[in-house]
Amino acid sequence: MELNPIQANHAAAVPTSGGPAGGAAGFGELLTNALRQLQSVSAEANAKLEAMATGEDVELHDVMLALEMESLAISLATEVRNKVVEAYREISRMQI
Amino acid sequence: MGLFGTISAIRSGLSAQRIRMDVVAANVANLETTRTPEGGPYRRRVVRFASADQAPFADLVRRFTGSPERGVVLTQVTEDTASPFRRVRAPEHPDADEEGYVELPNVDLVTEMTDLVSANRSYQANATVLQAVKQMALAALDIARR
Repeated sequence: MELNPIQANHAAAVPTSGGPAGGAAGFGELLTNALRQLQSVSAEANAKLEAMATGEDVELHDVMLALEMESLAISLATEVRNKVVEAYREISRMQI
Repeated sequence: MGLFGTISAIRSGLSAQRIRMDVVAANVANLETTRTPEGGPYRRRVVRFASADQAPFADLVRRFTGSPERGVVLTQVTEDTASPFRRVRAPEHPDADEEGYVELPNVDLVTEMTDLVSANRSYQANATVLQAVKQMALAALDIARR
């Protein structure tokens, strides 16, 4: 039940020097932070599940709530990712 | 209070009702217990809850995290000293006194069953709130979808 850590693609997110980089770098950072948070929610759910499976004294609803939170967080992340990719496609299709 | 704050309040409610259920289970299990480490028969246990912002250290939590703690906390599990022990005549009982009476725990099965049902229903109520919160979150996520 080990999820690989999610790592933001820094090469894509952080723009090359020279341009008006302030906003873009902030966005990359935002994304990285959001993913890190998602990972911590995921890790918590994993820990709870493992504790349950190994017979530790952990409440059933605790495990279920952790799983539910993880599921919601992942749904949100997926939704955000879809929106971002959509915006990127929109711009890449633009005729210049 | 964000979404996760709401869920954490619900979690505290669920845990509180589970503890109530634990205490009811202990009371029912000790219905006829005449010997305890403290001596004498078992005394019925009762739980005391407080809203989390009234709990000890709530001020400290608020100062360091910036957000008030929501939900409920268990403040103590106390012994019910108000109601008397049941006195039953049973001369053959090893714990009977000279007159042949045995003191049995002050656990009333009817009260315990009422508590049991109440804890059960409250647990379900918390779970129902959780379902509603989840539906709201999913509805919010649906806004982004087409």
